[in-house]
Amino acid sequence: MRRNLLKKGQLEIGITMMVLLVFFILLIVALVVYFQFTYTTIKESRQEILDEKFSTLVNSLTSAPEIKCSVRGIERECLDAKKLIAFREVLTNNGNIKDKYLDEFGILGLEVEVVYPTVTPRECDVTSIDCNKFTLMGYTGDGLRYATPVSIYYPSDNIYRIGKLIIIGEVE
Amino acid sequence: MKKGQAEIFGLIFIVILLIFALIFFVRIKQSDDSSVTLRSSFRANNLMNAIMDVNLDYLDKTSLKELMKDCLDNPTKLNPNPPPQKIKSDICVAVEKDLTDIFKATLSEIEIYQFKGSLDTITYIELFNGVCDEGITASPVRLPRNYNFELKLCS
Repeated sequence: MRRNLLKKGQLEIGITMMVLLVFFILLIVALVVYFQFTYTTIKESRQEILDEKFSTLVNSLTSAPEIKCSVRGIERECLDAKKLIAFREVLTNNGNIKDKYLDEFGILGLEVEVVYPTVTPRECDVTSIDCNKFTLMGYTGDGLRYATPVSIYYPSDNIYRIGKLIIIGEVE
Repeated sequence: MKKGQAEIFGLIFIVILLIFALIFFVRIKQSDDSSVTLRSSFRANNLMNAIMDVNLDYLDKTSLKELMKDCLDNPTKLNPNPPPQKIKSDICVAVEKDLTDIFKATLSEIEIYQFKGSLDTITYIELFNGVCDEGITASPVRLPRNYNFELKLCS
C-alpha cells in the first residue's frame, strides 16, 4: 500500500516536472521571439529616425545663411555659388570648424552638384563657373545619400543653374 | 495529461497569441506618413523654384520661365508640310525637352511628376511620366497676365 502511494507520488512529481519543463520551454521560446521582434523594431525605428533626420536636414540646409543667396540682407530661395566656394575654403582650412559642423549635423559628407544645364564635370573653384561640383565636406566611404533639388546662383554672371544638395548619412 | 493541465496549456497559448496580436496592432497603428508628406512638399517647392529661376545654356542664357511664357503665348504653329494643320511650336518643343531633362536629372527613377503650364486656364504645357492622382503639389506659380505653372510629385 505504502509502496503504491510512493509510486503514485513519484509519478505526480514527474508529471508536474514535465508540465513545468514544457511551460518554461514555451516561455523561453516566446521571450526569444518577443525580444527578436523588439530588436528588429528598434533597428527599423533607428533607421526611420535617421532617414527622417537626414531628409529634413537636407531641406533645412538650403536655408543655411552660410550658403543661401541674399541681396542686401534679403534672402532668396537659392544657393550662392561664391558662398559655396568660400564656405568650402573655410571648412578645408579650419579643421575645428569642420568638426563642429560634422558634430552639429551628424553627417559624413556634404556636396552640391550642378545637374542642369550640363557643365564640365570638375570641382568648382574661384577661377571659373564651368564646373559641376562643390564638395563642401568630402567623404568617399559608404553612406546613404539624401538629395534635394536647389537653384544655384552665379553672381558674377548673374545666372541660375539647377543643382542637387546632397548629404551623406551613416549607413544602418 | 490531465484535463486541467491541458486547459492551462490552452490558456497559455491563447494569452501568447493575444500578446502578439496586440504588438502587431500597436505597430500598425503607429505608422505615420506626415513627415514624408512634409519632406516631399519641400522637394516639390525646391524643384519648382529651381525651374522658375534657371537660365538655359542657349538663346543667350534666357530663363526657362521666359521661354515657358513665350510657349504659352505661341503654343502652336502651322505645319509647313501637307496636310496643313496646327502643330506644337518650336518654342514649346524646346521647353518640353528642357523640362524633361531637368526632371530626369533631379528626380529619382521611381518618382512620378506632373507639370502643367497654362494661360487663362487653358493648359498648353503638360508633362508627366506616369499616373499621378494623389501626390504633393508645389505652391503654384502665378505670373501677371494669368500665366500659371503647377508641379505635382508622386512616388
